[in-house]
Amino acid sequence: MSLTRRGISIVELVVALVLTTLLAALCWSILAAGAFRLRDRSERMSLEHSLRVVSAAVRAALEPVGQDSSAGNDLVVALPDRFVTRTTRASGALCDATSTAFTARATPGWWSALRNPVPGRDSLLVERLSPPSSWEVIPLSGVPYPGACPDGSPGLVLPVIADSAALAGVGAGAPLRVFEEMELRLYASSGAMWVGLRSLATGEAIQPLAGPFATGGLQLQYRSLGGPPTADPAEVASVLLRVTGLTERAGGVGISRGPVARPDSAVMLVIRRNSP
Amino acid sequence: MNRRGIAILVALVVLTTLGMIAATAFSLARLERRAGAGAIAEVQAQGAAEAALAEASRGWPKTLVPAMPGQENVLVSLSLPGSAVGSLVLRSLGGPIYLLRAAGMRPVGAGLPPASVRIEVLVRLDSAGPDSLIRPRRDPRGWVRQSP
Repeated sequence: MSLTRRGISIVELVVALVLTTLLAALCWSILAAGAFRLRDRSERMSLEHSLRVVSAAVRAALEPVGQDSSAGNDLVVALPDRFVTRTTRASGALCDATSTAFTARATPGWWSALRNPVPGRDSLLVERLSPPSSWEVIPLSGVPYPGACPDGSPGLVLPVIADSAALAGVGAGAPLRVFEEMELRLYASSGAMWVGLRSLATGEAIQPLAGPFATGGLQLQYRSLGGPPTADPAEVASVLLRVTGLTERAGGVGISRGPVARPDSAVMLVIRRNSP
Repeated sequence: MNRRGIAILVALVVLTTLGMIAATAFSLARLERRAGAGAIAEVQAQGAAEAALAEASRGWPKTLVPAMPGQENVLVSLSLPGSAVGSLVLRSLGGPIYLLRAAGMRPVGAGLPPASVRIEVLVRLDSAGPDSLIRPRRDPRGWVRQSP
């Protein structure tokens, strides 16, 4: 006689269920913790990247600004949460200058440009050859086109309208800069604060550079030689930048669950290289 | 005996998910390390370029002043601790204003391109002093950092 037992007892079933539940809970906690750390790390990296981008942009804009009695100050507006600078888009040297066109040497090593000059958006800064050093601001009046220097080498013809006073002392060998006035500031959009840039000449809407940032997350303190604060752009020798960013959730965009406010900040002193 | 179950499937799914999390975390850490190494290398490259400029501010013999437009003469070439190298050339623009072009470079490693910084300074050349060296005088808008 044989005895056949099929199926499982209730005790075995309960034990199996408990073990399975414990295992599932363990797996879930490990997975959830891993996913949280991954997301948190990713957001912190994004925040640090935003801080680096803004710091680099402020430094790139403020470090090279210069000034002289003729062309004025390249730091046009200096406020605690925004500034306007003449930002260089191209640089080179003239090989010829007339009242209707400046010709810049265009061979490699002479002409350096982030983009092609655009009339209505860009202006020219050209230095007089005779001492003392002074620069002249001349608007670009037409679309530049390839040409030739008097010695036959390749040139870039920049149409201008210059009177005799503007042309005085300007000639072959004079340094040239192509610039546009750019504004960098903190602004609100989509429930968060962002740092953005815009060209003043075109009147375009501000474009985001990085974010999100805390309210008042861009603080600029302008300092004169020796360190005391100043509000006069002509006296600015250095700028103390403090930028405070937020992770995306704390800034009001992205996934809303999880921990709130993850702020971080960076402080940088930008020395004006062409200091007054 | 037939044994049916999903244990192996569950284990595989869990292991795959954990593996993906670990791989992504590793990738993020690698990116951070690379960004850090790149930032440090750029600071060192900038230091090399600034050192070359500082070296040139001490002056140079009149014979090293280029005469023809576009002509360049190397004034400074130096190596700094940490594999950073700097150099500086004096370029004639064809008038009384000259261009000092300083370059700094620092390898990053790990298959990444080297960090490179280029600084240009417009100068006028003062006449030689008692030590017969030409010294540069900076222009009020002379300093520009160029993209490499």
